[in-house]
Amino acid sequence: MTRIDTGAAAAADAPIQAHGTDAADQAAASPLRDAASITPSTPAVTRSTPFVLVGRFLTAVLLRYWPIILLLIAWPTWLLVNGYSRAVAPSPLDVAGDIVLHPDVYVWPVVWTALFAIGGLILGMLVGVVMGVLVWMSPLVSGLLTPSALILRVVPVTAMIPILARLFGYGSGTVVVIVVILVFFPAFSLTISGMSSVPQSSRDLFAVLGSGLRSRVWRLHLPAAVPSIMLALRLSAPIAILGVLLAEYLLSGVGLGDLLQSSGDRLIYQRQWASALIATALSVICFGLARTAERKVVDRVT
Amino acid sequence: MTAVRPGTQSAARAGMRPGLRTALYGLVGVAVLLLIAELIGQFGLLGTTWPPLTSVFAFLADPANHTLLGNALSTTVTEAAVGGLIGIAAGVGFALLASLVPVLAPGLDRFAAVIDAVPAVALAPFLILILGREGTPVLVVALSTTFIIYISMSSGLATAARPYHDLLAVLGARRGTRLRLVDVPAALPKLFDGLALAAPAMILGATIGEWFGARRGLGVLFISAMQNYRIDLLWAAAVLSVLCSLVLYGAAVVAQRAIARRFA
Amino acid sequence: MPSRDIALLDVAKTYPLKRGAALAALDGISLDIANGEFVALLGPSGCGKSTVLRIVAGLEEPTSGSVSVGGASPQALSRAHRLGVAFQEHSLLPWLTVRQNIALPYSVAGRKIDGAHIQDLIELVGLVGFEDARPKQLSGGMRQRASIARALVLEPEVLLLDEPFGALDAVTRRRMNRELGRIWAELRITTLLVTHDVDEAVLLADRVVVMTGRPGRVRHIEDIDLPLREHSELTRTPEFHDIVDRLTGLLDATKDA
Repeated sequence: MTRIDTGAAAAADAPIQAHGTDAADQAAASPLRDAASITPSTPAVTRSTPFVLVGRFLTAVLLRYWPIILLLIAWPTWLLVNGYSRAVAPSPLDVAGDIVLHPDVYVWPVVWTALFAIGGLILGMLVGVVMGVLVWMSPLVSGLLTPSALILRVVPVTAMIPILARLFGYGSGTVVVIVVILVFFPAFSLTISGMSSVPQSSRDLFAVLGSGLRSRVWRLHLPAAVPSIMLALRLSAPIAILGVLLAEYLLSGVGLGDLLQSSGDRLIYQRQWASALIATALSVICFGLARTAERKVVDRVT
Repeated sequence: MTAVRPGTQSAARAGMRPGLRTALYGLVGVAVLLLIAELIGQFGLLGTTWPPLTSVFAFLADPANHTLLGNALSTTVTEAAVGGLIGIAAGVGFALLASLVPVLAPGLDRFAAVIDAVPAVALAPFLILILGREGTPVLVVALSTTFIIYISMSSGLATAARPYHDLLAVLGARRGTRLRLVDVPAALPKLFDGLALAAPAMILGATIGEWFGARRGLGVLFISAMQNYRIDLLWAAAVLSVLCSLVLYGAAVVAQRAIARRFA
Repeated sequence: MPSRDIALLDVAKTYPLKRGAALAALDGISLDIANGEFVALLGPSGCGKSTVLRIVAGLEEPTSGSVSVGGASPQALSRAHRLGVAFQEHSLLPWLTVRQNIALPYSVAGRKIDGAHIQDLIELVGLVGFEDARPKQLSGGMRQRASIARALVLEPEVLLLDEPFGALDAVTRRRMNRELGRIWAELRITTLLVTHDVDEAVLLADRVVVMTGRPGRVRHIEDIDLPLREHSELTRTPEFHDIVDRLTGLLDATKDA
């Protein structure tokens, strides 16, 4: 029952997140699929002129990115209507210009933020999975820990960062600790729910074969948990970036979060906007990498 | 933890109902967690930054602190509630729009994925410009809630089985009628799953938004207490934020169970 | 009660597969169902008989050939809310009571709910006392009764039944056949029943159309001209057994082929 609780929370995460990306994937795949289904049945389309091809490409782009395009149009319009000065609301040109003219300002913050996020992500995944396996092996311990894990999971990271900063100092070590804690909970609960997802028939088979607990965990339950563990990785990737940025924003003197904060303080708005843009790109890249890793690994085990 | 083990094991052996045993295990686990936190504080194992929980609760109970904490709490809760309601309305609205006008769906799906990947900190300059420093928390909450609710609602709208759609087609239902009579009721369990996920995210979003220069709120209290070495205040504010999240989450889970019984 | 005739002329249906291949599901189906006639489509599973029903219901378009219901397209009939249907999966909405489920077609058509008429139907299908129960509280047979009541509630001009008792056990199925026979004798709507049960087809229908599979074709049409009698008596007569044996033989032959 306690297992089901974590499982339910995790399962609630899973389809929701899965749907989001599936929908995006389907959107990505659809033009190909359309082409494949249309081409053989209507030969007229195969002799499509470049003009038609470009038209179809533009339609596909419009279908998939219309809200973003809308936003890009609405944003300058809104600035113009409200008559904001360029100092407060830098134009895209100012933002791009600052990145091109001062790359040295951005290189190290990006490297630091990426390193902290990736290091914390790996460490947090390791701790979460190992703890998950250990706790799964004892129903008593998992029963004792599940509600506590839930409570710790809802602690807002904004409350966690100041406390951890006072405990471990304002340095980079604390940033990593924060990311590890953030990544730990999804990894921990998804590992447990994944290990519990093994069907009864497979458990019966291993019982008949007389295999011990260690062999069952290693050969049956842990492999069964791999998709859940990889899901945890994908869910955690943007969370890790957010955690690093928030921690840097408040604590350490390095990283994109710090750049965001200090440039805002010094009223260098084009730099603040540029670091926000780069942080977003970093988060999207991290998410993309995690999703690719998830797909590759899950493909291999299932 | 070893101290409680014999007790719970004998309870298990006495053949208690599984639900009761789960609750008991959980309660014991939470009690142990609180006890450990208390002992760390009592013996100063982690220095002065980790106070005994009893002193945190004493601080919370002291009427002298109620104005400060109450103001911060009501500010944050209001932001979370307003942003949450906006986010729920927008998420449900966009999901219905995508369902009624399927051409728009791929774009909305993709946009939702981008919104999710964008770190809230990075949006700060953008949001401050739109709504000012006081309005930013509401907007952060609304954005993250919109994403969660949009994803759960649109996956819910896709759950109604095909025979229902066939039936409604034969009965001559228009798309809007089908949405109202079949798809929306069928989506309610998933929508409430989403609400349970969104509940802690609302409090988190409000406190993140408050970091960008708001004057009041729990998020402001976290930072000012940290900078002024007000350890008791820092912990009291943290405990309040956790309690808020738990109450919201609990309410969402209770609603979700009731809905799932009726609609699934 | 007003009713319509159904005409299928040389209907074929193919489904495109990958790499330009196609699966022929139906081929050259021609069938006329007269006003107020009860026709059963009998065939092994996968022979395309449900596809015929889905085409008549307007849920699928034939690849070639034509289909008309009362001289118009099936979609025209469903848009006018004059089509009744019951599927093998009862497809009752789990969050509505029996009464609300039966009233669903009124909501779809945007009409005022006629409570008295619904109560009559509940009596007709024998669900009195279960009006406020939810589908999951009912047995399989009761769910199908509710589903048939829902199909009848707007007094449709055509009734389509796709293996409505397919998920029931043999005893319940026989009882439901008896009741459907009684209900239909009162209403006499043009009805198309899809089934793989020979007894059911012979008991209920005026005509039985035997289909062969892959692609689905009409193999044989049997006019059922049995004396009007209680079903339990009828099933014991030699005439009934003759027809059932002959049709079963045809089905077996199609399986061999």
